[in-house]
Amino acid sequence: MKNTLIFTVIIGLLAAFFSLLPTPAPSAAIANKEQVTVITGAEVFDGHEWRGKVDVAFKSGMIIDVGEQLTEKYNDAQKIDATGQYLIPGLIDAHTHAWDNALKDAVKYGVTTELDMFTNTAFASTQRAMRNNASDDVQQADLFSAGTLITAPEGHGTEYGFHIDTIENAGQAQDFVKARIDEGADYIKIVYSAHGRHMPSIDKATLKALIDAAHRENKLAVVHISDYQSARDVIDAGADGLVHGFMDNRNVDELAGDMAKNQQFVIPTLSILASMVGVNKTNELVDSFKNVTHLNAEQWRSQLASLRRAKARPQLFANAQRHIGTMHRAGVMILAGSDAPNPGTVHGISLHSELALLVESGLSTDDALKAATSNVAKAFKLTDRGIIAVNKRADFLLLNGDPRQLITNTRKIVKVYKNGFPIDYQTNDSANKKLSSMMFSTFDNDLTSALKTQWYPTTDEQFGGNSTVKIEAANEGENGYLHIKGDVRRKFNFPWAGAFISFSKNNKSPVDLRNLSGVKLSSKGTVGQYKLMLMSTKQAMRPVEIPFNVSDSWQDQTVSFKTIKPDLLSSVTGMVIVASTPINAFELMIDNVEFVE
Amino acid sequence: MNTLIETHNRSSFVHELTLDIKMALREPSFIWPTLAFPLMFYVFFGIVFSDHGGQNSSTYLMVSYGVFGIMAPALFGFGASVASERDKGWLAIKQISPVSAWQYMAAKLVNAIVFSLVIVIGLFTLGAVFGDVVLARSQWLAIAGLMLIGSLPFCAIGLAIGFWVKGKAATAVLNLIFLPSAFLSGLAIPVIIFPTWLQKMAMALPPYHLSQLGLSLVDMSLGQSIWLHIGCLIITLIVASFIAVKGYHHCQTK
Repeated sequence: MKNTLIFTVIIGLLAAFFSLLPTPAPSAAIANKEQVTVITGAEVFDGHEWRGKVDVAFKSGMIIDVGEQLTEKYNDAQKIDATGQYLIPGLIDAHTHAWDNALKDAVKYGVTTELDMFTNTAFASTQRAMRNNASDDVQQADLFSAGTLITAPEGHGTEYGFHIDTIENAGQAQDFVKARIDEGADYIKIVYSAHGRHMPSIDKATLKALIDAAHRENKLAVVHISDYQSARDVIDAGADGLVHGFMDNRNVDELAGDMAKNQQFVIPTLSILASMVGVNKTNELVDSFKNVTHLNAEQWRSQLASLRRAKARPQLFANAQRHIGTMHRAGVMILAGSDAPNPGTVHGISLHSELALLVESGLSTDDALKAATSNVAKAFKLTDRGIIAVNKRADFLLLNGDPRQLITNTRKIVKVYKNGFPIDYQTNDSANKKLSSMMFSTFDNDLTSALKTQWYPTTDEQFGGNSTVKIEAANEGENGYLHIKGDVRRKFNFPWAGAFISFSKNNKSPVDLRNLSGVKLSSKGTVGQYKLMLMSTKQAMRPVEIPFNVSDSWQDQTVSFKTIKPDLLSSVTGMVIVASTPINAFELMIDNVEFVE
Repeated sequence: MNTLIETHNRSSFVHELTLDIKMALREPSFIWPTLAFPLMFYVFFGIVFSDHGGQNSSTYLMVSYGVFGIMAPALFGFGASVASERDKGWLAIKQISPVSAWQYMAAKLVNAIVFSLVIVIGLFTLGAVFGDVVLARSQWLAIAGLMLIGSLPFCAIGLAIGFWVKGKAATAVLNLIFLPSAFLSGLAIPVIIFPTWLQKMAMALPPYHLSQLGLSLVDMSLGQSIWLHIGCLIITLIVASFIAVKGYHHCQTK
């Protein structure tokens, strides 16, 4: 009896102990999507105007009611008290290039929709299903995309290392546009330059034919330009909008008047223009997120550094801002777009910078907010978002500061809701595993590394190239080494052939290499310069390259990471050792690949 | 009649267990290293000095020191005490007393599990309060359960040594097994940063496999198959138990 009592007490104490251990907070406060949720007490900007303190009710990802005392109307609703806060629609970035984690990064900073202006069509197609389900907890921004862009052979857009189809004359326009739409393009993006100074461009007739073809297919045609004359030609050709501003010192009154009359819009992308001429807003931008504990803008500091470091040319940027002011006063619709992730910009964060730059250019704070919400929805015919109203997406931000007072208050983000689900900052921000010094691959038994992953052959074949390669672990036992034999051929612009290894089984878990100073390895082979490349999730289109030389006898060397930005090293998924041009047929032997601190 | 025997049996088991626990509690040279070391190491390496690893390292080390923690009562509680009881002639007395052999073993086993539980509770408390470890309820319970069941192979190893090695020597032999195998298994420093040859050695050690099982519960294992780990632990249990049983008969016949 006494023993039973003691036993029961012990079990009870154990149960109490385990029930007290900390467990993660439920990621979505709204467990049941059929449940109505009402946000009360916030000052609401509905995308057009400030509505005062109204309640917003939503369920299944859609807003079902906006008005007063909705908690009485929906009496079993879950309530969120946002007294003292400001509710604005989820922001729409009207000019980005999206791949990899872009959409997950963007949503953390309140960008709930991105309009992509050129990406891999395969990536765009994987995102489409997600944006069609309003009631799913997607934890990322929705994507609308032009798919690939339309440009001349060797024109802007062809330099990124993967093949895209190009157009040569107006006669091809209709079929070309049709092909883009068949690929899933939501709108047509064209690259045009009146001068073709830096790179070849399509001519005026082709430009006109493409715009007309898009309109016949009921699609918007937007055009990349970078100077006044190109903008003039594009406006005359009847495009729906310009997707960049320009920096020439010109009077744009007439252009602005025509654009307003024809209802043509402009996405000035002041963020990227500022970066190009060295007008750096990084510190201010990063600092303004400092007090928002769940956001870490600091991690993007190096990417936010501007493209041009020497010889800033603020006068050019002032021109661009003056043009936007003129266009705005003339009644041209201005849309906010950042051109992330180009150097100097980051998905999500940079749109807040863009809003401030628009206000500096002469827009009111409300006009700037419209430029990132209702205006984009109207211009791009996005019928279900950009405003707080019944039957629109439950995409919105709660802010701790009034954007009417100061546009930078959009950075005081309390919470972002996408499809009615709060964005979970904890799971998104997990740190990558740090790698320390270790012998990584000896090749003594096989191609397995210390991380239990395998070396694989890699060539440019995946981008339509015709290079070839074979790899094997030669000379089994203690003298084993990696034997790579291949042929680098020139069908692809940036040909390569070599060996690749991922740092995780699924190639999805990046590791942090910031502890390491480089990779030590022994090499021997066809004499020449080879490359060690790291794949960083922070720069997904192009790996980071470090050249190293190989001679015809075995030699040890350390390929140093010192030229690589720590930010890129913080998130590396894998490593590649390749021959590139000008080596043709080659043989490369690698041994004792070691991470060194 | 049957009831009487069963009552008698049960109470003699409870007596044996109480006795065993009391004996352990009165032995500071057992208590301190067993209870205090894992907790102390965890405070040092998992909490105080884990500035750069943060929550991840405090979670990782909570699991690996958990393995370290449960090894001690299993190895020493069984090994050293059996050996010394054998030396002192206690074992011989117990072998002819009403306490059956299985009760003698079971009492020691429960004793080891009770101590393991105390260590696990201590580590969990430190991890949760000071290490910011946050896990799902099922993860907390699974880790605790794994630690308790996972002490079985170590109990068997302790027992095998207890029956074959003499009292004083047993403690030395156990220490020779305990500390090196704990460190080589990556319980103090993650195996991943060992040189390759040392990593290969770690894979031959039972604590490595138990810690990998624990780490797989928090998604921090090296990613090998859990069946490999379970298999290695079961083989250890079977081989060590076999040697222990042989040892027990060996003691009886002597």
